[in-house]
Amino acid sequence: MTTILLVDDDDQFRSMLAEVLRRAGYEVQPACNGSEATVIYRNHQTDLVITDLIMPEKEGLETIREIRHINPAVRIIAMSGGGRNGFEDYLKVAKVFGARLVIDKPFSHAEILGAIRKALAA
Amino acid sequence: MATSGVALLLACAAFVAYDQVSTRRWLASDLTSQARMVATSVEASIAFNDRDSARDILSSLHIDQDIAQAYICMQTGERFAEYSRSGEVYQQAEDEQLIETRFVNGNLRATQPVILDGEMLGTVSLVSSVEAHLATRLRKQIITVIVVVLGSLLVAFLISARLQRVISGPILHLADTARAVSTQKDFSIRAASQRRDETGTLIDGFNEMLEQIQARDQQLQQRNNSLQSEIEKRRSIERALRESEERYRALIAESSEAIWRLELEHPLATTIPEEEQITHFFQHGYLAECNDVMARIYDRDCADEMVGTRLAAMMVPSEEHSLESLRAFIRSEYRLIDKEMHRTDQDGNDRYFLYNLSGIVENNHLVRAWGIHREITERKQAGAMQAKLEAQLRQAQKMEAIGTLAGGIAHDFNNILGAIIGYTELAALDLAEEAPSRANLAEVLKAGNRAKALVRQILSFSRQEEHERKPVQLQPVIEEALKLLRATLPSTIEIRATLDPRSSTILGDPTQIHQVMMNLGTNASHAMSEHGGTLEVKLTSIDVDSIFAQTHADLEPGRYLRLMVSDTGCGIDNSALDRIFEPFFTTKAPGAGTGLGLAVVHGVVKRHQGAISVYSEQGKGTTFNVYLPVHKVEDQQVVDEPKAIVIGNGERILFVDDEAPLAALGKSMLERLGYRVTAHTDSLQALNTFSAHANEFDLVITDQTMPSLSGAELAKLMLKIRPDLPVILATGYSTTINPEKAKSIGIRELLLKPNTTQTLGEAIRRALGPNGKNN
Repeated sequence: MTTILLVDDDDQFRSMLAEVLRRAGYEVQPACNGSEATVIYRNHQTDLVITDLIMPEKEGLETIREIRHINPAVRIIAMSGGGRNGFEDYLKVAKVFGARLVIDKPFSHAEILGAIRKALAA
Repeated sequence: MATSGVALLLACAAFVAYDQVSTRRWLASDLTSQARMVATSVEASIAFNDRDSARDILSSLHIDQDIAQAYICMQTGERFAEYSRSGEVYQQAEDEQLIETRFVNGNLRATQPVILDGEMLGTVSLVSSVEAHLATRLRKQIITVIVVVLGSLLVAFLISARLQRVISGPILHLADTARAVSTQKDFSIRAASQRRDETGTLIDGFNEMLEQIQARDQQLQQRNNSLQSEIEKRRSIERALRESEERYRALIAESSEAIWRLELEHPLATTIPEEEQITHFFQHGYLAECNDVMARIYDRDCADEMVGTRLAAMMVPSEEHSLESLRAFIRSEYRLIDKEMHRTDQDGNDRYFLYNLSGIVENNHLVRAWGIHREITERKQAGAMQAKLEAQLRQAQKMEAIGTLAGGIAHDFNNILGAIIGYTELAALDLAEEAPSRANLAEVLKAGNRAKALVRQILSFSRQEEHERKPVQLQPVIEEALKLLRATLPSTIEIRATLDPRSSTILGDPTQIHQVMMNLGTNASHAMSEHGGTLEVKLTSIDVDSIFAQTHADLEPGRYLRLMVSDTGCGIDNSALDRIFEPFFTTKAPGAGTGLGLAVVHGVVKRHQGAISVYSEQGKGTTFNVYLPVHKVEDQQVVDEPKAIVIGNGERILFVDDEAPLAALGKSMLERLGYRVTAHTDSLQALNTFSAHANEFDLVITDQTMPSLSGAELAKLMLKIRPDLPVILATGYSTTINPEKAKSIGIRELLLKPNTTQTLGEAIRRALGPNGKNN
């Protein structure tokens, strides 16, 4: 079963997305921030990481960098509800940091499932 | 002296003459007496004929030296006896017997009768040689006279010499002094006086007189000096006055401000009621002085043409603002500072002035007033421009604030929306196909998606970062957007697109331009949602000249691409027009629009150094013009030479636009093209001008949308007056009046605003025909 590490600080959103992914047949490992996600990934490298970008403690870009440090070949989907870092769009920066795909929040089930399929297929 | 001599001589001569005469008389009398005595003596001798005795008696006469002869004649004439001193015989004379005494031949002869007893016996005659006696006496007398005269003269000389010392000397001294005084004009000179007699008194008197004259002279001198200094003072005052006058004239003449003086034929009593004062102003006020600047404000060439103008001719007494200004003047004690005045000149240009008016009040009467007008038209226009810029700045700040806020909340908002949308989908999945809640969940999803769209808008609005700019060919981008619009707009809306395939490229972000087109198109479709209509899209390139650039603060002279998006929808009312680019401003029903579409368009256009303008007519439609600067490098490569501008040949054009800046702009453009232009902002006024000078205009260009009389109505009336009149109707909105209708009225050209000098020039040429003046 394909495993997905799902990182989001928003409990409600994370629970919703975890439910959607499970229903779609994925094994979901939730993490509520970047630090927790890094620890989990170090213990168990999942097939895919879906991470939010703006989070307290350790934000998404740093999380991506650390996870890629553990496994440079990791497949990552970055998602964000918007926001900027200086003049740069987080999602664009996330791509630079190594995210395979980026997706705007909110999204429909179809959108996210499509993105996952695409990320895993690449 | 000579006079005395002559007088004396004359007196002496008179005396001598008198003496001679009296001596003769005396001698005659004496001789007569002697002759009588002798006659008496010889009576006897004769009686007795005693000649000897007679002779003796006669001889006794020798005692008298003077008697030269004596003789006695008888009655018979016989000489009885005779005596002669010298012995010579006396010659007998015929008249010797006449009894008389008379001078004969220098001798005195006295003849007396000898009478005895009453009978005359004869005569006795004595002859005296008196001449010698008289001569001797005369000689003596002459000598005496000479001596006397000489002596008298000598004495007189001596006396006069003495007298001169006593009298003439001081008088001559006095005369010399007087002469010296008169020749030297020196009244301090005094005559010397040592005598205490009359001359002394005279000299004292003279000196006293000099004293007085000197005092008077000094007084005169002093008076003269003070007069002189007075004159000098006056001259210098006059000079100062003249200089001041010159300065004042120069100041007035060369001032860039209008300076003028209002005089009242009769001073105005400041105590009479206000309305009477106003009447007085209009009745008696006139312009007594002004400079050329003032004259030009009132459409005259120079001050001379203006001076003398009645106040009533300068401000219309019936107009409320005229009365208001005068009331203000009276109420502020005849002093107005920085009052604003508006005037439309003969060319229809609006001009604004600040004026000061200062009245001169003497004894409770206003006699005159000085006024200064300072033109502030430019400042005013600049002020309007600045206000516009400030409004734009405020809007930009507002947008930025909203952007920042939006960026901040979007993240959380999207998480929330994500949860809502996601769980709704999950819930729907769990429901059976026929479950009634599915429809409700579908509504939740729809609302969620609307919220999502809103947040997207907010975010795109907040994305202020510099997008990657690259040369973009606009035509495909617009076409792409139109394709999407065609797919989404209802079939009641027709889309007409004219995209110049040669349109140049801009430097920009195609995604953003795409969004601009989409937003404008969506807005247009909303405006036409009720009745359908036409969405017209045009893409053309234009040259913005300096005049055209003035119409929009964001435009600079240069080459631009113009994207025109026009609809035939409900239009935007004027009060809303100013706010349409504000974020969250919407005229749509709540929930129908985000209020961000145009704000986003505005932001994108601004980020592309472009400009956007809007023209709308309620019930007719709206036109947006987006100007985007052509990419410079591309611009240089463009071989598409700008067409030569068609210039005029001094034809007279009547230009009508109710918006003063646009009227001024049109006038300026047309004048640049070589036409003579009369501009009006009021269509009724324009009609008046035209009816008064119908044949003086070669062409009329009028705006369509104007209060009181629309362009088409104005054109109809003008064409009634002059059916051959070429008229160009300018409209900011393409479907306001259709070409067929325009043609039926007799309008030669329809022109879509805004216009460049080139489009205007070409339209005029078409309307006037190839032969120029009034074909």
